[in-house]
Amino acid sequence: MSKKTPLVVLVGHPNVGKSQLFNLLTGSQAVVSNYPGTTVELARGKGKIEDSFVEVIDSPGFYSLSALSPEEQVTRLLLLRERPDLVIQVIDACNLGRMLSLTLELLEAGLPLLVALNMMDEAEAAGLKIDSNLLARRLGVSVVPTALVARRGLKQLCREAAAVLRGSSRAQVPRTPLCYPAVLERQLALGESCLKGSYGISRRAVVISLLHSDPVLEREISTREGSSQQLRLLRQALHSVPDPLLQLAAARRRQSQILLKGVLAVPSAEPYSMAERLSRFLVNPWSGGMVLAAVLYFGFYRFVGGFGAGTLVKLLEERLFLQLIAPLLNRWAELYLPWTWLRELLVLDYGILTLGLRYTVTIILPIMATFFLFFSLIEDSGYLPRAAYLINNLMEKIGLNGKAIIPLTLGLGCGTLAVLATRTLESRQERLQAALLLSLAIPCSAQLGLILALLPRMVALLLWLIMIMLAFCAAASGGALLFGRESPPFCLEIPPLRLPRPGAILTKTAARLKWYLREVLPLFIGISVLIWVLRYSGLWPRLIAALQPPLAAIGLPPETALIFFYGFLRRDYGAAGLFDLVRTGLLDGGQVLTAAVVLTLFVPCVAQVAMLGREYGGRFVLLVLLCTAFLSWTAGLLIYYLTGIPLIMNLLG
Amino acid sequence: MIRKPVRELILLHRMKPGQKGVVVSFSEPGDSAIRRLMVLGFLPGEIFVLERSRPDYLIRFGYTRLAINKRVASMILVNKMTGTMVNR
Repeated sequence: MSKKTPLVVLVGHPNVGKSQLFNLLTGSQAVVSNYPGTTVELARGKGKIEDSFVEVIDSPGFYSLSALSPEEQVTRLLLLRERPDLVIQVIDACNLGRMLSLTLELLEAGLPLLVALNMMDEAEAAGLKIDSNLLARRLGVSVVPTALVARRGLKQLCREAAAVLRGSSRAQVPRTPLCYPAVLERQLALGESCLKGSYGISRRAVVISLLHSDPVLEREISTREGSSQQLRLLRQALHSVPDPLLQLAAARRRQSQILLKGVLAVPSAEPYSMAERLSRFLVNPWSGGMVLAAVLYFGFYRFVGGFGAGTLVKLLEERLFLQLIAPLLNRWAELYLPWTWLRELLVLDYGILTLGLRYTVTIILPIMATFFLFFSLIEDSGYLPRAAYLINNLMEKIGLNGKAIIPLTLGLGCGTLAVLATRTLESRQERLQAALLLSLAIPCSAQLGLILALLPRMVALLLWLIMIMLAFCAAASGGALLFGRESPPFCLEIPPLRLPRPGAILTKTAARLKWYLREVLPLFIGISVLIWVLRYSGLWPRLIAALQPPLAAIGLPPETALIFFYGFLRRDYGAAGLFDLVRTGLLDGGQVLTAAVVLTLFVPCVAQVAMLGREYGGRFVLLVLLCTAFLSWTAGLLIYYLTGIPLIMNLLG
Repeated sequence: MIRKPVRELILLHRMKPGQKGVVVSFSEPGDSAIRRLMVLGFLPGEIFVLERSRPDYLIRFGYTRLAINKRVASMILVNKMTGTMVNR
């Protein structure tokens, strides 16, 4: 037992400084990975508390053991399975009143708890006075006031943590035990007596967690109990009590209020500061709307799209890779690899090194680095939830909610990443809807610039825009039809605005970048191999030939087939191909417009398709491919007939 | 001196920005958004201010601020506090 490295789990509400504590304990050496059987990421790291080595897990934001979101369910599962040696709850001192409910739940679960009363600097600035010693005595566990931003209280926190780990500081029985209404109390006691298995949390906490349906947890419990029949009966009995969840929450809050009497002194004046004034400015639809537009334009379009996807990519890809590294690689391959097939697999135009690795390093890396940098900035400052609030109403009209602003904006940068970001949405319906919209009607930065350059005439650009909007609406209503259109309940906490710290942002950006590269690198290598197989099996020309008849139907010459095929491999290759074709003068104004619209709406690029498949399965990919192929072709047909009208033809030139 | 405030029982989405209220009950305590509100500490008895009602509802209680949509707001029964504030 003592041979094993002690396990420390950090828990707490979102935005309270858990990750900060994690970084302080582990020196930012985190390994981020999915918790087994879920898509939720957890950061694990080796750290040191006083003189002993420990393993630290940073859990995702967590409001209650009565878990709702997949992230919370994972944290609960973790506590139940792993039997941590120490649980540190990080609390935002300003919100002690409502965060104490979670403390009570953790104590009820019998976990070895230590409370870090963080952000004491902010609480003091707001005029709050907290007697942490009195609170500690009442709770029966140590409560350490900290301001982790300034490392304040870290030493004492470590000292207390070491004491709990040594076993010299045991949680005492709280002076005032948590009491539930009699009917509920009886059912809980009954439930406890039914359980026989052994858990990392108390039986009472297990019974309470059964109040919500969570299949993973139920499986876990039924394997320990040996029967699932009994669990069902237990849950039925619990639900015979009216509104058990409300009663539990109310009892915990009553208890918190009792505990805080004499502990917490709140100033009588309302909080009203610079940050508060700025916050009001940001949530006002007029002023906030303008800020949102500026953030989207300058942050995402100019910084990520322009600087990251333009300047940096050009620098890395053209200057560094195409001019320096690629010729070297090809020459090396010619010298040492006598087999053409191997040479084509590794280098030349579509090889693993020249396409797979090059995409990842010279294109994805700069785009994602600028994106994650900006994203971490608006996330840490607390701007993001305010933007979500502003846009929620509009988003609900297309079956999404305000949080979808993240993946949809991302889509203008890179669709593959955007599909990955749909994970942040709550319901499966929203995730599928957002993924469909992204695949269909949101052009990524790779093609956007070239398309805009292709359509110099206002009329053409306007027609293109109208077609894309039409497709967006069609996809939105189609998606609503397919995945259901219940206006999703929206409830979002708006944290206070904070000045982001550069160090934290850089750490966060680096961690995310590392994670993302690990996700996409295998994808791009897979694509290189796929192209190689296509070329060697002789399928390549046949695929291009198969594209020609439908293109002829919308008035496009057979030469364009190659463009669309390239467009599938990489969006900007398609757009660039079209650009070249236009310069040869093969296409008239109407045909250019048709090709531009169809290319924009055409099936997503192969990387995005692979990501869609990984996140949502093969059936969804098939649906997306069929929808996009059909919709883009229909739009092309529409434009073909429109441009046949002499008036419009004259306008297009 | 404690003056008894005038109170009026209404649904939260009928309140006007700037008004104060006390949560009385939820019409659907099982709804996922309501459960979220409960774990956030927005429970019967809580005093709050409705800061904005457009484009969506923005409520503040203590040092916590929440955004909810009309669907959620219409599930919350509140006692609107008009006239005098509660002196405590």
